[in-house]
Amino acid sequence: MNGTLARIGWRGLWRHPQRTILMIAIVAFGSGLILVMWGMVDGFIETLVSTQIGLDSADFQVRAAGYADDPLPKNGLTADDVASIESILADFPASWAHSPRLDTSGMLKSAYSTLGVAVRGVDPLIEPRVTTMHAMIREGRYLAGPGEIILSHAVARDLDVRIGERVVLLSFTEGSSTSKAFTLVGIGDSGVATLDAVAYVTLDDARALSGWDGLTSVAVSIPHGTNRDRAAADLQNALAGTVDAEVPTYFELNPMIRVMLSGSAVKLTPFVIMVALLAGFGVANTVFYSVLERTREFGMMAAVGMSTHQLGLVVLFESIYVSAIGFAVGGGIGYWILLYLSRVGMDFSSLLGEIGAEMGMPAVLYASTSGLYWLASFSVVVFTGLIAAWYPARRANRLEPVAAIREG
Amino acid sequence: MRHVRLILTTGLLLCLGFAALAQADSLTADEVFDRTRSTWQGDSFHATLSLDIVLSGQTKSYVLEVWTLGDEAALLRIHEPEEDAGSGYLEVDGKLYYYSALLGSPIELPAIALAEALFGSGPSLEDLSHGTLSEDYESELEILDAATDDDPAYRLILIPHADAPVVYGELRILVSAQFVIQEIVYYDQRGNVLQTATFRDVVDIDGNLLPTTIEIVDTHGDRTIERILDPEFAPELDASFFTIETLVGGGEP
Repeated sequence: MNGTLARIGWRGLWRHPQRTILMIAIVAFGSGLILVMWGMVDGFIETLVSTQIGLDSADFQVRAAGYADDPLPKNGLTADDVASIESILADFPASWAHSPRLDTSGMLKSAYSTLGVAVRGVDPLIEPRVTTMHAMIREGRYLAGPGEIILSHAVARDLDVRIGERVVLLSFTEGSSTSKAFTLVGIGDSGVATLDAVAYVTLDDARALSGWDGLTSVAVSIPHGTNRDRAAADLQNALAGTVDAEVPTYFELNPMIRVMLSGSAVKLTPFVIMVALLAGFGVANTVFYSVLERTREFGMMAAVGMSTHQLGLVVLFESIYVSAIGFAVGGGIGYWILLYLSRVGMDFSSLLGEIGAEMGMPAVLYASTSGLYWLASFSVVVFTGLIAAWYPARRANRLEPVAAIREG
Repeated sequence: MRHVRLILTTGLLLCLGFAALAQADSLTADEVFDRTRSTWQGDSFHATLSLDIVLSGQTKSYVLEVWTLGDEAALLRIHEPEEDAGSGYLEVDGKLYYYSALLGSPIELPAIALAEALFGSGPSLEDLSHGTLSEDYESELEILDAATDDDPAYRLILIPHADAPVVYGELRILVSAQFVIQEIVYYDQRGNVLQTATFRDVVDIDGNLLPTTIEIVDTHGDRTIERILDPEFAPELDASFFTIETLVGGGEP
């Protein structure tokens, strides 16, 4: 019997194709919107974190305790600390890569302009094991030796300096300054404004500029899939008692981002409910008027022996069809959009502006395509179907055949 | 005010440095520089300066008084324009202080401000003040035909060494037969002229030949004209004069 009712519902649906398509469109829009929104938000988080870990922070770093309070080279790791850290790291899996760094700051001068920059001294041979900054070089080449410098497009443009030209970097230490000439060998473009303000030089040059023979951090990269927090904690435990150091992970290095991103799924829930309600009431409204229009028809069906319960089921089937088709269409289109955005990405630089850049957000964000978003999208459909079916089905369920025929 | 410091640094060092060329008894470029360095270091100087700074067609004028004690200390006091009168800068012990008469209290400017001022003055000038010119540059001396003492008699061509902390590609300096600097042309590393400094209105003060008007013009047409009024060489100055109290109180030596 239910099969007959399902067929009646299906036929009834297509007696007014425009109305049906409208209802399907509402559900498709709602479910598709949720899918895309959730995928974009998660993709945004994944892009942000993976970009910064891959280009800048690595999975975690070893820093001198208290360095974050006053991040000057003199508060960094001493040469003895570095030797101990490297010795301890040698006991960890060989798949763990680590790179010594010395961060300082200075004034970069060309013949045309002067600019304040962050300066990162790295070992050109080791750093590529930890970050992919070397792959961001768009012009020229990566560092090969002392006296060379890599700048971002933005800095090179502001200074109006070209590959092969000389710039002078002036760094400040306790009450004195040191200037050193560098030849621009590479121009890179990370897409992250905070990184694009960094000038990369060799570790020896950074030491000469800062007057500090130690490091400011040892960046550690671990294989994909390894639990980052646990690995950092293991290293922290191994260092305890030997070196007064801390091992902050990416989120500990960027507490603002952790706050911003924490509970993003929960924060999205009100939005999902709102979209579900909007779609649900849209479909319910259309189905309801469909039932009102068909009062005489329902009266006739009741008069020839169909129970009010069966009438309600017909309306319920109509809602289920609309929701299912809408979900298939919306989910399909939404997922296609997500797939596209996961490959091409979206340029948010104009929207996020300087705030995004300050927070180290990449200009181009890529969508995530996790299958879990279907679940969120399906919740919209369930919600929509329930709202859309409940009241019209209830009305159909309460029809008095004679009154309905007269009313229609 | 960066321009003020820039001009003070450039103008004074150049004037003092190259006026001393008259005492040089050798014509090799390196020896000229060495002599220049050894001659002016430790000198004290006092002058009133007028500055006309033309930026994008708009002119702003200053009248300043400056005291220097070699490269150890410098005090600059603004007399005009009226809104800045009484304000000034003090550079001592590698620190730079600014006093605003309007605010009524001195502040120490970050080290970056000092560097910016020195940096902005041009490497050749900074090098002159620190005596590293011949270390940083490959120098060449050309003898020119000079009909009069006022004509250029020498052209110094300075090309920075590859590892020299100098951003310019080349400096060309014209010097008169009396060993007074007449012009410096700054080139970028692509061979283009960046700015030209010309020195004129030379006066003889106790045997020191001093150009009292210095004009710096860049490729955009912006220019700064500095006139040195009442220059005084080796006045009685000692380190106790260069204090924050003098900067704030407006005292005289």
